[in-house]
Amino acid sequence: MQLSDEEIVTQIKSGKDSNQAFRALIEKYQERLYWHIRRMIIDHDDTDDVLQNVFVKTWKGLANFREDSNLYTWLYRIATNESITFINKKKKENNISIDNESYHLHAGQADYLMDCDEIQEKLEKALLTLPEKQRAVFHMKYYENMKYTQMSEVVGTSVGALKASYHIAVKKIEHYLIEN
Amino acid sequence: MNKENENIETEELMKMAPTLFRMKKVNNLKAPKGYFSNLADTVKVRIDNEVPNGYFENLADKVIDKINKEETKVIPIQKRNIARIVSFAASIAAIFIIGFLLNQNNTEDTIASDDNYLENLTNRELDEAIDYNEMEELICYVDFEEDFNEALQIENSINDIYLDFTSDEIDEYLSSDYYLDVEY
Repeated sequence: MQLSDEEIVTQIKSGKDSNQAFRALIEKYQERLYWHIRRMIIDHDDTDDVLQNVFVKTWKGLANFREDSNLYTWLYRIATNESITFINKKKKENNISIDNESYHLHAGQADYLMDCDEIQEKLEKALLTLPEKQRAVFHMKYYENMKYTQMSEVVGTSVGALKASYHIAVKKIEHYLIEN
Repeated sequence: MNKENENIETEELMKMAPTLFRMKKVNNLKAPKGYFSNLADTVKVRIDNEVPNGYFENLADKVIDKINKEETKVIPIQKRNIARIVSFAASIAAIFIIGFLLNQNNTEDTIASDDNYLENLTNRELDEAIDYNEMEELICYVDFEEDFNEALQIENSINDIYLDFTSDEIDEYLSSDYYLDVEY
């Protein structure tokens, strides 16, 4: 039987059966978080690294987790921040400007794009032109159908700002698809 | 998300981006086979191998404490110093004794040959005699005094570190030949 979020948090905090509870947390959220990160980072090995960091940080931070917020959105927030931090770090290491699309094609994503059909390839390339936070917003809304209120907790931005960010992202992608 | 909201958003997307709207939501990315069945174990191993929280904050203090403890145990060097000083003092004492005995023999001979020897000396001759015959001994005595004081200081410093010994160890040391040989 799958444990509820409350049960997981309570068990981990109490220290009783905390290992089993943490395993339950990983098994419950690993796939959703993996795909959330993977769509941002694209490369599997990098995604694996970031996802492990997310769970390690979760384990360390659970003692301070305030139960008035949602475990699911808290995990997403850690995953989003870790992904953005990772992308920025990679760009700095490769000495590529943050808004430079070429970074994404450098970082192993070119192979992935070859597996897509032509129209999907265009969409992926269009997504890679978006700034990280905007891309995260687009993924959460377009692919994961997340509510703006949840997204607001994840990204730490107001609902209004998120709606605007999604709108701009959609417009940019549409423009890219038409132009290319 | 409720159905009504979903419909509104779909309509909005259709108006805003008709090309994007017509596209299928396909995931071309793939995760390796069996990846998710091992992830929990991999994360557990990573957590177990993490450096404990606050480890580096206390590391410097721990190292300094350890160094301080090591330093207080450097007794053999001081013991060696004492041995050196004692042997030096013994040599000086031996020189004194030999010198004194030789001198006494000479003095006895001189006195024996001339009982009025000292009475016949002028003050200047006496001063010269002190200058030439005894000055070296006086210097040796002064040096010995310095060594003696140094030895006392070392002994005091040993007293300061007695705290690092057990009472049994102190008793054993006090009854040892080494200690009994050390006399000032």
